[in-house]
Amino acid sequence: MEPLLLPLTMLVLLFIHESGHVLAAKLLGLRVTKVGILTKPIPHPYVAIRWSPVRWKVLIFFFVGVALTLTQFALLLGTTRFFDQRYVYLGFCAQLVLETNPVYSDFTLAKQFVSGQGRQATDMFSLRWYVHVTLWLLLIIGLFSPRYLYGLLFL
Amino acid sequence: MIRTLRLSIYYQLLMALRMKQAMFFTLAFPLFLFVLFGNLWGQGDPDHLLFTLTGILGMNVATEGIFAIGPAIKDYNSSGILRYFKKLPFNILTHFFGLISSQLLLMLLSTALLLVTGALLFGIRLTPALLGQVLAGLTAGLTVFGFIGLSVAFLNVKKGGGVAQRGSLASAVYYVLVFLSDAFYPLGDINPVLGQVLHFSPMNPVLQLLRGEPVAWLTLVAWTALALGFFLFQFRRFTSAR
Repeated sequence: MEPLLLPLTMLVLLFIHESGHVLAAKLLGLRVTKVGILTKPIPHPYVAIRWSPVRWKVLIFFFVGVALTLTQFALLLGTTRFFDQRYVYLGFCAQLVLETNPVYSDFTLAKQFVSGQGRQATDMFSLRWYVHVTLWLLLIIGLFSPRYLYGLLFL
Repeated sequence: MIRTLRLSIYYQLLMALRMKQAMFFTLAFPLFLFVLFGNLWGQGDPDHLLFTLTGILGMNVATEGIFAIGPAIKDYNSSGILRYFKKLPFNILTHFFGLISSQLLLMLLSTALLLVTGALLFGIRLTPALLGQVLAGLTAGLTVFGFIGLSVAFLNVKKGGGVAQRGSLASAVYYVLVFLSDAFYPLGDINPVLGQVLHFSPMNPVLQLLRGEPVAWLTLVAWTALALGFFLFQFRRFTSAR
């Protein structure tokens, strides 16, 4: 039964992530246009807003989800070391990897917003994208490699 | 003649280098996988590192064979560009030689990048034996997967089938070849039933060459002959779309 903690952790984090977007939008005065589930490119929940000309507000809206996940991750790591539950840890890591991926995530949407070229714009295969991919690779290695955080906590 | 050939290779290489997506999958993606897998599972285990490295090289050569050469030649033929090329004042074979050589150069570059990364990051020793195995594996792989790629590209599932349809068939063949093999995990040890299937996989003899293991030559030769025969059969009955 223990492995079930992994998808369960991810589901809870996903709920908190999306709630964070809604809450941030309400607090910043951004208009939420839709909350639902998108099927493409992969099924995932989403919160859509009307993009505001006040750039920092929209950027906070984009990054609040991953910031919440990171905060919970740091809190649990510092206080309980994930209750010695490796599947809770792995759930957190999988969620962090998904939320920061360079192909389709809040980061890519934020980049589209900053570029000012609309939702179809992409910086894939540009130098900036390769930097993102490299940092993402280091994050995955740091989280999952037995030499780093995973090894320190569970081996 | 040499100058024409050199220019043909140069321009084909230039065209390939300008395709950012193709460059990612040829050069960066194998490196990404190697650094990731090497760090997650290979630390302190040189055998596993070599297993991962050769698995990625096998995947790489399958990618080149199935996606790079076959579909390009098929599209030249189906779009009628071949007939246009025939009117140009140089031998059409020079053009194809340039195309294949440029892809070979890119694959060698990707292989060199992987080997150097393995040496610098994980301390893999680049012995002459290893380099010989890699060269033998790449040569055999490019031959068998090149012909499989050509066969798949010329296989018109449906008359007038679009690029996406042909692409999806090639992808399906590619994934079956890569994942029903010992490329990334010893499949035969994990599942004995699937282990039986591996005896018929064209990927496994290529991996055996790369890993310096006893090679299932019969499987390798049979697949090469079968794919070549099927390609020739398809090519003869194929008609240009224009």
